[in-house]
Amino acid sequence: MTTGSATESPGFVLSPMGEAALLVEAVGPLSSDVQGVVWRLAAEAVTWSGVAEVVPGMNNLLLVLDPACDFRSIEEAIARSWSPAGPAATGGRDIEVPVAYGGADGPDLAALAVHAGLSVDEVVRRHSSATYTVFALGSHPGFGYLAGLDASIAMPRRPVPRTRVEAGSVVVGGAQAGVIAATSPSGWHVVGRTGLRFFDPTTEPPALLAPGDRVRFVRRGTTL
Amino acid sequence: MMEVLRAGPLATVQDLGRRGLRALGVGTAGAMDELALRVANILVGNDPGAACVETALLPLGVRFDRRVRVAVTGAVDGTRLGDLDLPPYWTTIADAGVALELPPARDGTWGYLAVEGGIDVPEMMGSRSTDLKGGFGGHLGRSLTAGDRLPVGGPRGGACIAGGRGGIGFGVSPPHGGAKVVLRAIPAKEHASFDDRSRTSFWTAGWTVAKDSNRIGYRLAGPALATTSPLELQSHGIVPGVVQVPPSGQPVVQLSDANTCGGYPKMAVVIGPDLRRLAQVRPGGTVRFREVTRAEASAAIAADRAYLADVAVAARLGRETCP
Repeated sequence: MTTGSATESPGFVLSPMGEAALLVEAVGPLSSDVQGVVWRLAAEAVTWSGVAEVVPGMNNLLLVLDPACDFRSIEEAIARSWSPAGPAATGGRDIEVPVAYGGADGPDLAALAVHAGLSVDEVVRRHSSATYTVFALGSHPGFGYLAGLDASIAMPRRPVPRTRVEAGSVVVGGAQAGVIAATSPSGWHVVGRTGLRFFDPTTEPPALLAPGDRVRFVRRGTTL
Repeated sequence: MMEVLRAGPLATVQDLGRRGLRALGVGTAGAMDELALRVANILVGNDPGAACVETALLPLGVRFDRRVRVAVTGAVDGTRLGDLDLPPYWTTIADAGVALELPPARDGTWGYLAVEGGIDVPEMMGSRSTDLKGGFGGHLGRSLTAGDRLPVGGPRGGACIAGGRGGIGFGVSPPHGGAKVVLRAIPAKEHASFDDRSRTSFWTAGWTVAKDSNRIGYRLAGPALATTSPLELQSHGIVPGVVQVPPSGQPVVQLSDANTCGGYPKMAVVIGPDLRRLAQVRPGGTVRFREVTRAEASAAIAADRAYLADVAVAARLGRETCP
């Protein structure tokens, strides 16, 4: 049995995802500088022949390809364009997200506190005092992957994803934070709820968040 | 205009789905059995990607306010048009006001009803597909229900309306691959991170499609799969076909309504042409995996394309010769 071939080059690893996609993953810990590299590569790659879609993730980029295209030439283009040195990302908006923490709004808050060895109140304080950067949108329409979670309140995703998590759920998954934008399955921990709407298909742009935006969670209450 | 007389919760408007919006978190949606949708459209003279009604597991009943050509494909049998039978992968004319009834199929899951002119709901972000998770697209972003009235596009040139009941259906059923469903798949990034026993199990075991499978993904039950050490990956873009293994050890194959990003280890990716074959397996049914290369995937894509070209020729001949 052969294994999924992964090609290592300085700074990133390439791996095919089926017959029509390539994943470019940065090596090393999650960083804002690397995310800038990902955004720049995405902006270039979307213009390449054979590239149907570019999907930035957390320090990684998925290229959705025409299955008939030459993977090798795309891989070479990635190697040429992956440039750690470049202008820092600028711009982005500041967005405040009001949150009711805990209770029925945040059923996993208590478990997260136990996992972190902190009081519920301290978990809420740490969650709501950080400034998060929107690294990428994905998962479901309008969901933003937020970097900047205090490492002390990170928690591995649930062993079995919930089949239904309500829109507006404020969540923690691993070292990442986010807000569920449309009711959907999720393996992330629900710590609170917001009334803010993150996706509206009738507006332009339809998503509230964009990569590079800064997000703060503002405590509107905590239920134990 | 098409009026819905009855519909189950899985009846939605679908086409080939949305492209180019993954970076906003908007997935493709689209038909679970893309080939069946394409054939249905070809049979009625539509563009292969026109919007159809997709239905599953419960009866669908509709009627039209004018004469239209219709076709049913995918998991359908026992379709009745008034007091006439309409076999799967056939097309005929439905007269105004006559009820078209699709009972649940005895085998398979997803059935398609194509109407000449297509289901003409407004395009949203480049597609007429219903995105159930986002609650947009299709008919009001939701499943169809009795009393819904859906616009139908204007007649297409070339389709034979004058001949009344003339059916077209010779030999267009797609190759099914037998009762045993073997899904061709390409090993994915974390394949080598699973322990030997898990890799062997994945490629050799029979996997049971679990009850809580849906348009987002099919959950498979079988031997527990584990990586040699726990992996917590950064979230990254994924595509339909990716076989993710959450810590429960039970794989989930992503399908039409899959999230655009994920973070669970990926064992393999089911090739595009086999997604419909998995989709048509009912909960409780068994599938197996077989490792293939990109070249074999390309050959499978070419085979589907050749089959569709044959269908197009057959449909054209049928329309030319119908009375």
